[in-house]
Amino acid sequence: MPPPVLSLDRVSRRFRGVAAVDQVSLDIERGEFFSLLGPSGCGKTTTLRLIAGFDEPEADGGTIRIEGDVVNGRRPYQRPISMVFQNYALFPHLSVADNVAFGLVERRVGRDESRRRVERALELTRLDPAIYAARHPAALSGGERQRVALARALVLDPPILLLDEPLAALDLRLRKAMQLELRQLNRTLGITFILVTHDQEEALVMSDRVAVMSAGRVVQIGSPTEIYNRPRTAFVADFIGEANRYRGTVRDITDGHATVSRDDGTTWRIPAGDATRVGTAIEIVVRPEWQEVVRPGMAPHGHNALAGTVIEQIFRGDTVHLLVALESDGTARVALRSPGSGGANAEWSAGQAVLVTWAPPQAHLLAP
Amino acid sequence: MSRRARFLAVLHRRPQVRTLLLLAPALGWLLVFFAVPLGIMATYAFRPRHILGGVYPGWTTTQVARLFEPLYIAVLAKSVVLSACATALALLISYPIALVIVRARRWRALLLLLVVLPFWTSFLVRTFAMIFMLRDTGPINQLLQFLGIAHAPLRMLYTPGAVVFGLVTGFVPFMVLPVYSSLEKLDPGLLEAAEALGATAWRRFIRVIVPLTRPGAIAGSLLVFIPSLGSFLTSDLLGGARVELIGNLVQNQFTSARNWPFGSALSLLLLAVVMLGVMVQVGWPRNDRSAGPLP
Repeated sequence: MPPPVLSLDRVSRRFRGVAAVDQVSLDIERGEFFSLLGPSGCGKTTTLRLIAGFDEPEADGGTIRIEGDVVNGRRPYQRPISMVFQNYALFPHLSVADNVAFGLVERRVGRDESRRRVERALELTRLDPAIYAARHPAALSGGERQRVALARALVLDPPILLLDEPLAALDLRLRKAMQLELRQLNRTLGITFILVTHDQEEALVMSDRVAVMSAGRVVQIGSPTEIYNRPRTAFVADFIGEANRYRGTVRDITDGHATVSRDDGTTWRIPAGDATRVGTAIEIVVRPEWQEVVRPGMAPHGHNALAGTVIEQIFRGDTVHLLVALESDGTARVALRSPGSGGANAEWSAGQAVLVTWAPPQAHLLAP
Repeated sequence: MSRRARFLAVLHRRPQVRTLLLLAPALGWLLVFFAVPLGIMATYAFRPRHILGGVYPGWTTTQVARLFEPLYIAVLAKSVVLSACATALALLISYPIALVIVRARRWRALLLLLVVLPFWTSFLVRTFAMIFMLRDTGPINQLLQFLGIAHAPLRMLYTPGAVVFGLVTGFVPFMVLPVYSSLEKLDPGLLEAAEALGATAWRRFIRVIVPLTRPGAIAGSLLVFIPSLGSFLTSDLLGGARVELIGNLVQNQFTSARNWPFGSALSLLLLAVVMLGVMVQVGWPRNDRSAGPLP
């Protein structure tokens, strides 16, 4: 079996004693679309710069391997990577074609081949060479600059393409289109894409796997479905999408189901994990769309329920979020289907007493 | 309406009047102390020479015609060559200095202060200090002999090299500052992009830093080349009688030779050469911009 295209082994980087990247280990397979996701300051950009070679790990701060070779100490120009920068970093003194050909010149690619590859790269990023080749970056829109930056990186046919928040500066529509386009390029070219982003939706839409980072550490690595449906920690649950978190104490375990009691006396049933023990405090995550809202006393048989009062209805286009102040503590957020043009969603109004319910399997137990 | 209010209303309604008023002091100064003397000088070049200095009334092209004598053409050529050498050397020295200053985050202010420190003493004093350093019995010759590199004193003072050296030391801050200022504006992300695309430090310098700091280099080159071309003190003191530049020639005509018309003619020639140089250097980047589309 070939080695992973990129492998980080306990990589650390400290700035003035503070760990920006702390013992990060990753194995990324060839052709994967891999995202480093986290809030600003979580170490995702530093990790990317360590991979690119703009920064180096501590002396004893682990090893970085690209295609099996240790690349610690190698300068960026000695590493088989390409990179798309957040502000694109196009050379303002060069035409689009010269920008794209920049790396080919450094690799002493001949004139004819260079021209051919530049044209192909521009076509790949949907820029007509006849129109764009001679233009200067100053005469391009944000989206066009983005494409030139992408073409400039892809023309080198690198095993790994690093993308540092590449879509952050684009407007929403363009961003959504580019998300799909990047994913397509990843599929067709077979190049490994490593994306840094703080936008959880972007990471979910594009990636094969996502590494969620916080305070310099990787908190969870998994497919988008895994990290959304089975977040390992409260941090991941809150950072990816919306999450309701409820606490309770395990009273009994039978047939793989745990009975949990709350301070207010209500009890629920949840699927028990291997590590669930009677008497321990636990926390579960229930996504807003896993729940329903019913009138008091109308909870479906076998469903868990929490009593509360509707605070507010938030219209989000495709869904309506209902905020419910729970009798015990906190607020629950429930996602309802948008009523459509036919009906106004007048069923729930502020101040109304309701039950927030969910089926027992529709809950995820957080690791203790 | 008071007179003051009426005045302010006019200023508000007519921005051109405001602009003109703001420019008036500078324009007045330039007119009285630059344009008028320049005009007088231009007319003096075409007047008959008064033997005690000054001019007679009337018109003649005698002195202007002398500009084309081989002797003066040679002096002009030598001046241009030495000034160009000084400019090129200053440019070569300035890039490393400016790069160090830009990268020295904490020490930047101190280093910039050091660059302008020479201006705290007079140019004359600094030039005399260079005579002391360069002369046959000076510290440099003593060191060279002590180290056994030279066996007899090297002739450094009163050579064209000494003049270029003096011009470079005198004017190098004028080069460092504009080069530094354009380097500072250079987006470091562009250097990282070039590095990720495979460019070594030297290649990044040639392909990114040099083209993008060209405006600073051009400004600095003009600021060194123009005063070098007109300088007479440096060549006088460090070149002795052996190196006469066009600046010395002009000075001599107005002092010892008492030939004001010829001095004026030489000054006009100098002005023409400088303007030609400026046009060449300023015009050069614009042509470059519209260069061919594909590599």
